[in-house]
Amino acid sequence: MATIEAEPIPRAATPDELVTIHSADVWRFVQAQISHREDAEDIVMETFAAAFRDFRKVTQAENQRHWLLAVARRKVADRHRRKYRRAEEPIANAEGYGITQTPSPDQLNTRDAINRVAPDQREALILKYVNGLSTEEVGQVIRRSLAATNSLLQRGRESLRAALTSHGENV
Amino acid sequence: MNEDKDIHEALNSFSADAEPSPELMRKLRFAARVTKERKAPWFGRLSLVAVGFAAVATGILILIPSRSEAKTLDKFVRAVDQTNAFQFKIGSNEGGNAGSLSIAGQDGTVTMRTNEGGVMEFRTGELSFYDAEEKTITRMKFGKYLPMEEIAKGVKEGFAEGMKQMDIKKILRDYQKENGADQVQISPVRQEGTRRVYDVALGSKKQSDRITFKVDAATDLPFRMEVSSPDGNGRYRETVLMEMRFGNDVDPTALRANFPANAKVQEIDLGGMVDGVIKGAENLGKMFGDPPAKP
Repeated sequence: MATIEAEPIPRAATPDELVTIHSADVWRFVQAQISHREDAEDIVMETFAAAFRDFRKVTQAENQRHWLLAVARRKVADRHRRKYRRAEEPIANAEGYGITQTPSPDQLNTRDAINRVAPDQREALILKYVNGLSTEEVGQVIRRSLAATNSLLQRGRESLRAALTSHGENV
Repeated sequence: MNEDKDIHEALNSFSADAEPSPELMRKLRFAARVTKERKAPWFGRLSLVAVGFAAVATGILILIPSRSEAKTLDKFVRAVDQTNAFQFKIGSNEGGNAGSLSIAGQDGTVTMRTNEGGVMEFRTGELSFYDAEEKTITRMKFGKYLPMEEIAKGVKEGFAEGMKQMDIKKILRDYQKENGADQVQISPVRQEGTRRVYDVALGSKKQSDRITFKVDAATDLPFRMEVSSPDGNGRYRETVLMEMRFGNDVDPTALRANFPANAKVQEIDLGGMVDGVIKGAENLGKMFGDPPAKP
C-alpha cells in the first residue's frame, strides 16, 4: 500500500463548503456498505441534512470529517437494522457513478465477501482502507479504544480473508 | 503495511474511485442552501427536560414499591418539600447529535444551561434567557396578567399531592402487565465507593431502548439514569444520561444564572404590552364610537 502524505483537511465554514470538502468521503463510506444506489444516496442526503440542521455543532466539532462519518455510520446501521429491501438497480450498474462497466464476477464476489463480515468489523475496515483513516481515527469515529479498534480490525481482516477464500479468490 | 495489501485491494476493487454522482451533488448543494438550521435550541432542549422529568417521575414511581413500599415516596416528597432544591444534568447523544443540559431549582427559581452556551433563568414574574450566539439577554416580564406566584405554588402543591395520591402498586402492575414482569430487573445491593447502591433496569418487548436507574440504597432515591439504544451491531450504547441531586447535594453555583455582564439586554414587558393593547382598544372605541348594541 502506497504511503500517502496526509494533507490537512480544511474546515468548512458554510454548508456548501461542507459538501465540497466531505461529500466524496461520506459517499465512499456509505456505498461500500450499501448495495443499492438509491439507498446509499438517501443515507448520504440524510447525513448531510442532519449536518445542515445542526450546522452550529458541525462548526464546533473538533473534526468535521469524523462528525459526518459517525452520523453516516449510524444511518447505515439503521438501514441495515430495518432490513429494508427494494428492488433497485445496484450501484455498480448505475450510470454516472464512476463505475460504468458491468461488475466482474470477482467484484461481485468481493462485495458478497465484504457483506459477510460482521457489521462492526466491516465498518472499521472500510473507514481504514476505503476512507484512509488511521487506526486511532477509526477508533474515534466508532468510539472505541485504540486497543479495541486494533483488535476489531485484526478480526475483520481475518474474516474478510476467509470470506474471499471461500469464494475461491486467493488473496 | 504489506500484510494489509490484500485487504486494501479487495476493499477498493469496487469503491476506491467512486465519486458521488453529479445528480447527488446537485441535490446536496440545493439542500445546503435551503435547509434551515435549528434556530430555537430552547424548544429542543425543553423536550429533553420533559423527557428527563418524565423519566425521573416514572422511575421513582416504578422502583419505589419494589423496595420499601410507600416509605420511600414519603421520603422523596419530604425531601422536595423541605429542601426545595434539585439539580439534574442531562446528556444526550441520540441520533448522533450530542447535547447536554443542566437544570437546577431552588425556592421558585429555576436555572437551565445548555452545552451551546445558552442560559435561562425563570423566577417569579420573570423569564430571562441568554443567546450565546447573539450575545443577548432577553428578559420577559409577565406583570399582573400572569400570576406567577400562584402558578408556581399551584404546580408545587399539585406535584406533591399527585405523588401522594398516585396508586404506585397499580402503576407497577400496569407496567408489568404491559411489558412483562421479567422486564423489571433489580440488582443486589452492592458497595460503590462510599455508598451502597443497586440498579433498577426497565426493559420493554415493544421498544428497543433500555432504561437503567442507579439507586442510593440508603434513601431509595435514584441518582443516575441511563437510556441505551441498540447500535445495530448487537450491542447497546448509551444515548441519554442523567445525574440527579437533591437538597444539600445540589451545587450552589448551578442555581445562579450568572449572565455575562457585557451582554446586550432586551426587555419585553408583557404586562405593559397588555396594558397598552387595552388602552389602545379603548381609544379606538372612542374614535369610532361605541359598537352597535347587540340585537
